[in-house]
Amino acid sequence: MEDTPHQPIAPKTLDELQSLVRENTAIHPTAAFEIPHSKFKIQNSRISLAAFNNIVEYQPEEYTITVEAGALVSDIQAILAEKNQYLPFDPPFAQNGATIGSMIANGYSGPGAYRYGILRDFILGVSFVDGLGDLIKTGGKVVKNAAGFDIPKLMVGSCGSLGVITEATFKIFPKSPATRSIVFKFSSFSESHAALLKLGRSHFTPDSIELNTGGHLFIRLTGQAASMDQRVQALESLLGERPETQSEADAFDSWDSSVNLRDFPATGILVKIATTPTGIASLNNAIAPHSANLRYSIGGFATWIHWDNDISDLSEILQTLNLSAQVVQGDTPSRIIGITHQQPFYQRVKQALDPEGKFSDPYRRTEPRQVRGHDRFSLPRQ
Amino acid sequence: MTSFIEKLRQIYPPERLYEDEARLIPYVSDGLTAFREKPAAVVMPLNSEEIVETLKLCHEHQVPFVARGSGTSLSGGSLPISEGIVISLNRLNSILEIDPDNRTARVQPGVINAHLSAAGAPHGLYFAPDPSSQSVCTIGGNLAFNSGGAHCLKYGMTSNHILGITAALPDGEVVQLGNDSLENAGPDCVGLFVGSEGLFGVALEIQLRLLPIPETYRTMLASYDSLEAAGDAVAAVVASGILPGAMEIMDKLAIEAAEAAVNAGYPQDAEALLIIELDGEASAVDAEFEALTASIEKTNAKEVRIAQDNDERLLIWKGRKSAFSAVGRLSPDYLVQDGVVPRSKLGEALKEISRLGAEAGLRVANVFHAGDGNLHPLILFDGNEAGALECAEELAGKILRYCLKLGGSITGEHGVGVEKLSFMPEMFSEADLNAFKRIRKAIDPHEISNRGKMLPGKEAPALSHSGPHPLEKAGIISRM
Amino acid sequence: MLHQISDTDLGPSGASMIKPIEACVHCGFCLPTCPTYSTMGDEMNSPRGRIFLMKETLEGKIEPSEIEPFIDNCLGCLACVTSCPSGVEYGELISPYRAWAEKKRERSLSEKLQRYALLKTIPHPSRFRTASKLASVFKPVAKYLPKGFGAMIELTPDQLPAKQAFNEKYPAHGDRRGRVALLIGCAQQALAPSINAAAIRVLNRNGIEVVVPKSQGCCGSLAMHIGESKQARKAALKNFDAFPADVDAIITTAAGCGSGMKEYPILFAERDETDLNEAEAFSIKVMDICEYLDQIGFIPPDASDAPPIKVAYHDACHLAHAQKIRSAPRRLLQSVPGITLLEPAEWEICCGSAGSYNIEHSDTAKELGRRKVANLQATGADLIATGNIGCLSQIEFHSRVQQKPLRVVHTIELLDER
Ligand SMILES: Cc1cc2nc3c(=O)[nH]c(=O)nc-3n(C[C@H](O)[C@H](O)[C@H](O)COP(=O)(O)OP(=O)(O)OC[C@H]3O[C@@H](n4cnc5c(N)ncnc54)[C@H](O)[C@@H]3O)c2cc1C
Ligand SMILES: Cc1cc2nc3c(=O)[nH]c(=O)nc-3n(C[C@H](O)[C@H](O)[C@H](O)COP(=O)(O)OP(=O)(O)OC[C@H]3O[C@@H](n4cnc5c(N)ncnc54)[C@H](O)[C@@H]3O)c2cc1C
Ligand code: SF4
Ligand code: SF4
Repeated sequence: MEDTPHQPIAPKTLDELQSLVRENTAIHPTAAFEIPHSKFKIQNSRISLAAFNNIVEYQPEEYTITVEAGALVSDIQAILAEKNQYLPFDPPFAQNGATIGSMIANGYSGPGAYRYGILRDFILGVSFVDGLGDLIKTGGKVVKNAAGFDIPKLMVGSCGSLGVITEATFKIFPKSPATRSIVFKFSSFSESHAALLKLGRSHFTPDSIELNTGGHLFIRLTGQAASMDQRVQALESLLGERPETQSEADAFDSWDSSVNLRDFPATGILVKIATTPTGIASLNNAIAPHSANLRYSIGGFATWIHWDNDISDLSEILQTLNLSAQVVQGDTPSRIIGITHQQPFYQRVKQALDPEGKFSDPYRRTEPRQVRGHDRFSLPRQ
Repeated sequence: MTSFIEKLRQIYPPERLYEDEARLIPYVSDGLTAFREKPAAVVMPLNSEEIVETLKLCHEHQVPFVARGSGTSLSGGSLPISEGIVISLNRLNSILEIDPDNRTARVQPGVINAHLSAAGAPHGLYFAPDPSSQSVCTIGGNLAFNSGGAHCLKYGMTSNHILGITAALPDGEVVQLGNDSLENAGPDCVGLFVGSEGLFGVALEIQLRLLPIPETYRTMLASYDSLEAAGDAVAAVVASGILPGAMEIMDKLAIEAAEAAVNAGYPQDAEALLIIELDGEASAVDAEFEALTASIEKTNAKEVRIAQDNDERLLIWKGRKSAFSAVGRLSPDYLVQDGVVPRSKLGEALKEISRLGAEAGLRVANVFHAGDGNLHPLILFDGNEAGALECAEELAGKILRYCLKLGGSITGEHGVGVEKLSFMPEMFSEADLNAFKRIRKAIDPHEISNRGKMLPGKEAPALSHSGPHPLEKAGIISRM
Repeated sequence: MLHQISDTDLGPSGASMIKPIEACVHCGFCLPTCPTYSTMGDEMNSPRGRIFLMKETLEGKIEPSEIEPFIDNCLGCLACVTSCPSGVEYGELISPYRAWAEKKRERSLSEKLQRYALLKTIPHPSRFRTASKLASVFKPVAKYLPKGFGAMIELTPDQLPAKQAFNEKYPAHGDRRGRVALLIGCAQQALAPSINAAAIRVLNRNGIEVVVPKSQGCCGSLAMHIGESKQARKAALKNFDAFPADVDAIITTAAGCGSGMKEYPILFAERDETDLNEAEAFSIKVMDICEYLDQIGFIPPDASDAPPIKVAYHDACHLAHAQKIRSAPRRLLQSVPGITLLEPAEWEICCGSAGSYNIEHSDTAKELGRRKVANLQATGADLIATGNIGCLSQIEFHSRVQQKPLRVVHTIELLDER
């Protein structure tokens, strides 16, 4: 087994992975496949699941897929697309080398989660190696399963702290035959925000809704082609404003950029905040003086913020607003900031799955977060 | 025990603490009457503080407890534990807040599922999980069992609609999981709590997601000459890329029972009935309906009917939702199974079920969530006949094993409870079960919260009316 | 549901009691519509709980006295029958059970007096009139009297309408389409004789001849529903004789009487065959006024110039649940020009009147009355229509208590008036 100081260790078999976990005191599973940048401290305990990148089971007519955790999300998306299927929660950072394991551990969802739910709503089963080195299989491979504790969901957002994910099963959906993307360009955030709330009170069911701070409201509709014009018209009369319809190419680019947060600077701190459609108004106000980059996604239920100041300032703001957030990138004292009321329950679960504390703890500082590098390198394939 | 009861009396006035036979007996069973057990006491708290006090007391005295909603569990989930207490949550039934802007609600656990949707209706909102028992089951029970319903095909199970939980852990510590957003930060502890079958304490307050009531519905009834043909139709619809709100199948026996119960107007000569419902924005549904009609036309439907108005639609659903209980008209007792199979293996599974049923000499009615591959074979038997229950249980076991063999699950939505305890080792490895147990222990060191459910262990299940329980005979469990 | 009742000890009514127990699958669908469960929230005050308790009692596992309070709390509204998908005929269990348990029961003197007073007054229009005059004298001190008596007195109207006598026959207007006999009822006849008068007018206008048998008496439902089978049988036998055989239907305007008379055969299940046959022949003809009018093809009054009015229809338990009549009155009301029909929330939940219930169990009855009035008021209706005198007075009373008086009329009065 290679163990160079720069590269994550890449076990080849489950047995190898299990003994690695058993024999080490600190384990950090990662999606990293090569040295990201020399200025970062690379720890020997970093484990790459690059060798685990197979599709275990995929029968398109079942609308489920089981894959190994080291598989690249982008590869999986491509395979699903061949059968006109997709992961409806729009996983972010697929273009940046996210793996199925890191996707689950990070637990992020993109704008498309508005209609049918976030990542947690699509995960059916997970296998992982816990802190004792045991291989544990939970959940199932069928779309519905109520047997046993729902550990697959627990793993969503677990930040690599409860076990090394080795395999996962997802529910997938058929792609809609048609999409239509429109932008309402209001003159201020408060107008676009009012429109968002109006939409929330209507029976409209867009696929995606996003807002920027400048008054733009982005909406993507999916469904049968024949219905699109009418649906756009209905939205127009609801919001009393004429939207711009994006060309297919523009729409693709704009959503793609949004899913992968390409408008944000590549360095600095990036945070995902769990918000509510009404709550983003006060968040917007509270952040305004700090000149931070913001984007309101999933219809206002998730906010991405790029923060160049002291992270404790942001944490304080979030606490006053009773919000919880997760650090996506950047060296911060802990990955969860703002209110942390889940912690006491989490600690009990952590104690059960990782009694020796081999994995990191998102509520505590363990190791520096790495920097994302945008499209700066091509992704090597196994 | 006596000092425990003494202390319980300090929390509850006599009219909310039941200790006499006549007030304990009605609590001996839930929706699965094959199991009956009398608790030591039943308490009826009026607020969270009383629950927390009660749990602290239980923890201190190591007295097991069962939280109880409407007692409709079909797997013995809310079956009492002898020497333990039942915490009845039926008076904690307030809808604390409906927030139409965020499409969320905050409720107490005893709120009845359908009452929440009714309260959302003036705001154009509803609670999507729609178990057939929705007119009676509680949100707390839905949460504990991650209940599903016909429309979960499109909208997901209860878990997908719970955003935050304030819970009292079995030692009385109050924790807050999740928040009022769809998103979360850090591990999805809400996801873990949901579906934990009451093993993690008592949910005190629940933050939920509501959905906009669809602008329009289109409900189609298609009848077929065989269950298999109906199953094929489901596969065809799924393959066409349409995502219906619901796809349900009922077989002849179930149709007969439901028809007798509610006169839903189902075609009586059909071997199988497929209910498909589209929902959403009117223009979108119109377009989908055309696509749906096109794919159903290619199936060998005997008859296709469309609900003409909302009353007719509601009646169709009322029939479907009454089907379980309606089977009570055909047989004094029944067992409902809840196995899941991969959708493409539906036909195969149904064939095997009817073969196994014939072999056992028992009638089996089928009503199921076809879109999800979630079967509900209802095994009919007469509990007054010697050995009938055992025979039915044996058949149920064979069906579940077959589901596992096909790569499915022993339960899609009714949970393990006490009924399916013995199948857990067949679905999970020792390491898996150990991990479950470690989590359980970390949250409930004395294992007092719903002891004897979901996780096989040393605990005894309740008395079954006809002698020792099969699990007991099989040596999987024993009585304390 | 499994049971170990041996029907041999229970006589012929045993089989009637066992059937619902066997049919009950303990699914709980009946809980939310049960008025006692929805106010108290406990299993023993739910239909499912009561069935289970009666089963245990009939099995001999517990004494009837132990479950008495929960059986007594039952309003007999039969909402549980409507909501039961498994076809449990709860009414066929509770009535014989009550009769069975009554025999073993020790009642306190004040209870006995109260039941006696009820049975001796309500069924007799003239005594009811005297009693209510007396009652109004006692009203100021009602709260000092034992609970049941207090409620009895509180509920009696201050003033009764003038007594009204009926002819023996009212010929049809125009061509005769049919001939019916009318049960005039007892409490209703004292409280609101106008209802029967309206019924006769509407029937006549619809070409129906109405006979009002002179020697008819109380229908016996009240006695039957509280477990006094003997007295109920006596009343029934009297009516078998009083009512002519050559009528198309025996019409009642009181839902409680209608449901009771439709159940006559149960009363005679244990008795001799001739009585049973007679009971069956009689009850097959019993029809509620709305049921009948709907069946014959009601000719709505010419009310083209009447002002529009919003009417909320309240389902009387004894009509909706016991007789399963819900759409007929609605269809009739909707056929009248100018009427907009509104539906209150929780239609299936009893208003708390339920026969003598508001007298015997005043707290629950009050709570239910409050709730019903709130739901009816929420519809914003100008007027409430219902098919039962008990509901009518209960709703009127509670709306007055809440200082938001509602005008409540019998459906037939609206069909007549307009
Ligand atoms: C935008 C972006 C750009 C990148 N650019 C480069 C690059 O140029 N060169 C390069 O070599 N790499 C690149 N990567 C991968 C990058 O190296 C890692 O993201 C980086 O090393 C950070 O590592 P991490 O472990 O903190 O995060 P990630 O590897 O992204 O993992 C996220 C979280 O998931 C956990 N996790 C990952 N896998 C598992 C698993 N199987 N089971 C359980 N938990 C798991 C981690 O512990 C962590 O908490 C890029 C990634 C991103 C997102
Ligand atoms: C006729 C019929 C049809 C049904 N159809 C469906 C269906 O379509 N889909 C489906 O999924 N299920 C169905 N069920 C099963 C059942 O209705 C569901 O499991 C329901 O969610 C149980 O709710 P309840 O309020 O009755 O809970 P109970 O039966 O009282 O309790 C169930 C479990 O939840 C726990 N619990 C209750 N409240 C809390 C709380 N506040 N905190 C922690 N734990 C708690 C209990 O301890 C117990 O383990 C059906 C049942 C019947 C009888
Ligand atoms: S609804 Fe019917 S079957 Fe279900 S518990 Fe009530 S009485 Fe029994
Ligand atoms: S008759 Fe009415 S009060 Fe009695 S159990 Fe049935 S629903 Fe409840």
